[in-house]
Parts: sequence; C-alpha cells; structure tokens
Amino acid sequence: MSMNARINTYALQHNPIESASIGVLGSVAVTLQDEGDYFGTVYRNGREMATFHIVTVKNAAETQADIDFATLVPDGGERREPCDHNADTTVSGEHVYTVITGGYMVFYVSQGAGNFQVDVDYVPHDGGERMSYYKNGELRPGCFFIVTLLRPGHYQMRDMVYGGSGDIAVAYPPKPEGEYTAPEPVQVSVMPGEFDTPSLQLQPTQSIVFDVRSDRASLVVELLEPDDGPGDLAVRWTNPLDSVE
Amino acid sequence: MSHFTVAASEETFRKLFRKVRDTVRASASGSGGGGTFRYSWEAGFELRGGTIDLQSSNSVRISELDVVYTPLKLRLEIDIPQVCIGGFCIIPKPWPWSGCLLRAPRICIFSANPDIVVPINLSGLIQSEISGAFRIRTRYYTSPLLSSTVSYLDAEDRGQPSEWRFYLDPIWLDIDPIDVADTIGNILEAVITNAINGLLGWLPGWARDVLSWIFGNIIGFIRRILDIADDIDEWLSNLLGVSIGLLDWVLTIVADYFANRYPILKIEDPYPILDYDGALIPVKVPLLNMGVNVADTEMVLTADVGATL
Repeated sequence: MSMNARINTYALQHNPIESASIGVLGSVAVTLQDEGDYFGTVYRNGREMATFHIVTVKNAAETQADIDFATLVPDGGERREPCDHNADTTVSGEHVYTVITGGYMVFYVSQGAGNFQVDVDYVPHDGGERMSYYKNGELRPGCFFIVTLLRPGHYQMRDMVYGGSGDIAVAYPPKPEGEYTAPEPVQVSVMPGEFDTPSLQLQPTQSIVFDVRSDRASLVVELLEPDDGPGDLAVRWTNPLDSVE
Repeated sequence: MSHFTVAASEETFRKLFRKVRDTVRASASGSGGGGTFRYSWEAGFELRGGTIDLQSSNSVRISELDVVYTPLKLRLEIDIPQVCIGGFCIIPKPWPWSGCLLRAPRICIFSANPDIVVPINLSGLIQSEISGAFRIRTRYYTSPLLSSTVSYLDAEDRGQPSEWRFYLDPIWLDIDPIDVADTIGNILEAVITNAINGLLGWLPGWARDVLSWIFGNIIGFIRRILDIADDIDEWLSNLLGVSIGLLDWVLTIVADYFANRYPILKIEDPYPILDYDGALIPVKVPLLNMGVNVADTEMVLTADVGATL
C-alpha cells in the first residue's frame, strides 16, 4: 500500500498571518493605478530573493498579475509549478507580467514556509522618475489583504499602523454531513484605528477579505487560543469499594 | 454396420476428461476505471474437480467444475480530489462585462494523484463453479507434414500423424457469480481504513477533522468514490465479475480450450494394427465415417475401414 498525498503542512502551521510577510494563508492585492513599469523585489529576512516586472497598458487582457513567490523564488516552496499564468520570462530570467492599467498585482505563496517581503517601484511611461510604490508591506486604499483561517480557535486581528483590533472566532468543524460547500468569504473594511466589523464568527476554511480604506495599514491576524476539539474521551474505572465508608 | 467400434465407459471418460481439464490454464491482465478510481488486475486460473455425467441425449453434463483463481491480484488506485482554498472573486467586472476583475489566489492544502494505492492479493481466496452440457464433436486433423514427398508413414515417424480428434463442444456453460466471503470484504475495508489513517493519521486531530469535514467523512467519501453502497463483498464481486469481466473471460477460455484446443481423445489415422517388424512396414487401416454416440453409461465410437490408404 502506498500513499502519495501531498499535504501543505505550512497551511496548517502559518501563524501569525501578516500583510507585511506573505505566506500561504495570507495574500495581498495591490492596485496598479497608473500606466507604466512596476519593478518588484522579493526579500526574505532582508535578503533579496527574486525580482519581477509588471507593465501596465490600457488594452491588456489580464486584470491581475498573480505572483506566486513559491514559484518565483528558487527553492521558495516545497514544490515549484508554473503558477504565473500571465508571466513571460526574459532572457535574464526576470518574470514580466502585462496587466491592464487599473488592474492588480496579487502576492501569494502556494507552498512552503513563506515569510516573504516585497517592495515595488514605479516608473511612469511618460518619462517620470522612478519612485517607491509599495514598501514594507504597508497597505494603502484600494489594497486587499486576503486571509484564510483553517485552525479552529480564537484569533485577534490588528492594524499595526493605527492600532485598531478585533476578534475572530473560528468554530470547530461539525461532524461531516452531506457535501461540503466552501463558506462565503467575509469582507472587512479597515478604517483608521478600527475595523468596521470588530467581531467575526467564521468556519474553518472561510476567508476574510480586508478592504483597506485608511491611508495606511499593516494587518496581522494571530491565533491567540486554539480550539483543538473535544479530544478522545478517557474512560476511568474507580474501585467501588473505595466509595464504601 | 460399422467395421470398427470402440466403447469408453463413464469411468474411462472421466479419466479422459481429467487429462484435458488439467491442461486448462490461462492468465491475463488489464486495467480500467478512470477519474477518481482506477484499477489494474492480473489473473490466472486453473480447473479442479468436476462431476461427469454421460446423458442419453448424446451429450455430456459437467457440473461442480471449480475455477481456482491463481494469481488474482488487484491494485486499486483511489484519487482523493485536491482540497484548495481561495479562488473566489473579490471584485466582479462592472456591467456590461462578465467575469472577475480581481480574484483571490487558490492555495491547495491537499493534493497528488493517485493518493492511495491499495494492492489486494486474492490468489486462492476466491473460487467460481462452472457447469455445462457438451456434445462430442469429431474433427479430422490432417498432418501438416503430409505432401507429395512425405507419406503418412513418414509423418507418423516424425510424431505428427493425421488423427481423428474428439472435442467437448459446449452446448451451454454456466458460471456461478463470484462468491466473496465476508472475511475478504472485511480485509479490504480494513486495508482502506488503514490507508486513510496512514494518509492523515499523522496530522493533528483538528486538521483531520477539518479535512474530514471538507470530504464529508473521509471513509464515506472513499466508499462513494468506489461506489460501494452497503456491502463491500458485493462491490468486490461486482468489480471482479462485471467491471473486470473475469467470469466472461473464464467462460470464453474454457469453451475455447474444450472445443478447439485440447481433444478429449485422438485416434491415429491410418490406425496401426501391426508395428514395424524388421524390414516390414507397419500394418495400418484407414478409418472412414467416424461417428460418436453418447449413452447413459458409455461413449461409443464407430468407423468404417477404408479400402485404400
């Protein structure tokens, strides 16, 4: 008998989930507002790991560049498969994406330990100077932080810039009955110093889409107390003679 | 009236039958299924036992002829679909376009293909039983050596004489459905359960419960993939008998062996009366109009002696 299954163990362990440090359970979508070239650099623990280049044009077919750091970074994931559907690779090995102006770059990690940081510079097509566009994982209006929680328990969501926080409870999965339907994601707006929904009740595998409305945000979702379920019931025998006075 | 008559008693016929029966052996392999469940198999069989009854209707009845499957090996490949999260639409495209402007990335937490491979060795554990009615068919076998330069004597000397051959030609054949004992079903169920435990058993309890919730009870999920309703023994019988077509294959082989490959009796033609004697060639008589008749107690062969060789 042999078993072949591949279980993404990092998805079971990822905690805390931070917008500034991309891992399997937390991804970030950043809008590409203007036409031009976007040059990205991926880091892990301060060390440069890979680069990418996004070109935005008005008539591009793609509305988002899916940038899987596990694929982009050599040995970045347990297994590397081509996931960058709209990426070309130049002679130098740099990944180049072409996306419609106003589209998105989506940073995620399909496999592996993650913990990636990314900086993006922007050079307008009209000959303007190169400028920093996205840095230190700081989210701006129009950005999304997408988090999926698997482990049951009590979590806290925090905005590290303005200090807003909220609670998340992920229920223990019920006994399996019938066919599983993925729970609908919930959307949470991030305001300066607060979340519009400060308390969430979720099911395992349910995603949260943080919609950044404040001028800056850096989000963290952390497991404070796991709920590991009822566990196995122990059966104890007690000597009936001991209860006799 | 025939010039030549030979009678074989029912007991003699049984001995002749056993000799043919013991030559029947075949093996085959194949694969099937698709999607989430595939299987491959390797099978062989031999025949044992069998009760012979000569019938007054010029036929032979055979019953309780056991088919012993050896080897009989199955390999089940079960592919548990991958479990992925995300992939949902965050911002739909504005009217009049359809589709999605921004979609969440899709992360798979459980994947691979196939996930579980379960080999099952059923060699010697499963039997079927054949019964049938046969008529005796007579065929003339002309030695392939015979030619303008090779005589019947030369052909005989080289061990390939022409012959009258008598085959058991099936009128009908029945094979009982494969009877899978409960114990075998239990073994298979245990093997599958162990496979699941091996697959997920190392995970923490909450992770197993989350995956089990997604699969809708993983053992039940596997049963649905395999299309096992209630009775795993019945499922295995159906897989062997219908999906793999083991019973049809056995019947086809058995019918072909008896009807075409191994005669129950061969009579050399010309039939030797006296062997070589020094310089004298053997004395032989040609047999013509060979006939066979089966009665309750014996099989009778009749023939005429021809005028020339």
